[in-house]
Amino acid sequence: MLNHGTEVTRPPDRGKRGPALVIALALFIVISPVAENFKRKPVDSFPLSYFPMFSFRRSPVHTGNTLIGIDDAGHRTRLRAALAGTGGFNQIRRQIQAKVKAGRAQEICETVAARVSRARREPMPHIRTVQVLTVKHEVDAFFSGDQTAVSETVQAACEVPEAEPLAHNRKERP
Amino acid sequence: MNALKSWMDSLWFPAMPSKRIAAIRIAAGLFALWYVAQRYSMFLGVAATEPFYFKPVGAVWWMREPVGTGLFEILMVATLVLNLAFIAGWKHRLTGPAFALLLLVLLSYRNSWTMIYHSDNAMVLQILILGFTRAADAWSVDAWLRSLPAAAHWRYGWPVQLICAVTAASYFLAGWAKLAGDLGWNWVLGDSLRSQVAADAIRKILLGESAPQLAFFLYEHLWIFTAIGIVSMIVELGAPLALLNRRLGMFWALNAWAMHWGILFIMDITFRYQLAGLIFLAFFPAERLAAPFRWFLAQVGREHPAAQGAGGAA
Repeated sequence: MLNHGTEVTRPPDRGKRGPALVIALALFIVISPVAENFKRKPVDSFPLSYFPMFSFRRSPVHTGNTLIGIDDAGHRTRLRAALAGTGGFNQIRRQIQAKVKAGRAQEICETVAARVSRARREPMPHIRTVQVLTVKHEVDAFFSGDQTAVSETVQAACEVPEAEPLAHNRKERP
Repeated sequence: MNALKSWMDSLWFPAMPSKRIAAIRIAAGLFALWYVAQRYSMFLGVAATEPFYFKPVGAVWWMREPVGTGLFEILMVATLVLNLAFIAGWKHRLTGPAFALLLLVLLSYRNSWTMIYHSDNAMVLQILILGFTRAADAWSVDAWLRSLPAAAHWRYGWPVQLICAVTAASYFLAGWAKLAGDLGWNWVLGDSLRSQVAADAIRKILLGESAPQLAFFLYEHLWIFTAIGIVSMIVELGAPLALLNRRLGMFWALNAWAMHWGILFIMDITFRYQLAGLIFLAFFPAERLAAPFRWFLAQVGREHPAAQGAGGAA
């Protein structure tokens, strides 16, 4: 990059060897994650990444987990991810996924149920049961207005415990 | 050979005013301060998460198990204190590297709980460069105490160029990953991008969040995703060209910045450092950001000559 309209005084080239080595080394390190693209099981890291997001082929059928609250009348409500953990949305989503994959969805269910019992905002006080479901949706149909799942698997279900004194709810940001 | 050497020299060692890298230091430092301080409670909450989720990455890859939240809180407080020194440019030779390394460790640890937030990458890498170079020879306590020279010099130019290069490299890697994926060049046809947008929207809805309505509107129009895919690929793979020419660099930065705003509207994904334009600051004469403040101070001085006189005497 050239300077931006600033008066320039160009000194002798002394002392540039060190910075040149730093530049070469830094660029090599930052670009080195490109090698992950050629591995069978690439591993992402931080802050050096090969930036795999948006590069995957997606199935026309989406599989994901959802948290459902059911009230006395049997009405179902989708519950927010924030009830299941701490952190940003995608972080909690992955935590739910990890627990489901490990066969420990019941722990997520109980965490959510405990938080539901402390929540006062509608429709939380009426929710009696929490379920952790793995659901499949046809993507085209979903975006055409049909959000009915083509399959549902109940990974865990639990009762909401009796309400305790209100604990503070904090808004968490990614 | 001499021509190549001269070209490389002008590319990597342009003389730049010390105020440019100082402006980038202050802007990046202020963002980091806001970013960490605002998430103080959340970071503590994440650090207190059960060890089952702990998958160490980056600077903490060697850890077998998480540290106690007390130690993590000490790390956060130390990072915030050094962050203030970094912004102020106080004892930068010590506090600059120390802050950069602590921020690297802090955010590596924060990203070690099942999810890597790639939006943090650029900020950490840029602050590492700023922390280890002479980014506080102007607009700093150090400069004020020692009357450091602030003339344009290549020693202020190469770190700025390196920041530009590291930024461009990250976009290039993102483009390369798409080509190296299952779809190769077919990625630009837009079908894959549309399915990404769709998957993101469905995930949000399934977990009780609202999905951007624009995603539903655009889904029916594949050609829009094709256009976005082509432009994205040009921006990402063309990123290295941004280093070759000042105007090209600014043009590329504006397009990459617009791309992040597009991601926000279509996917509701907020890359804050990128949306604020801070990631691209090194491509512009950042020192001119101070112009409005100078103008404001000049106006205040004009209205209050006594204050101006006192300032001048000081």
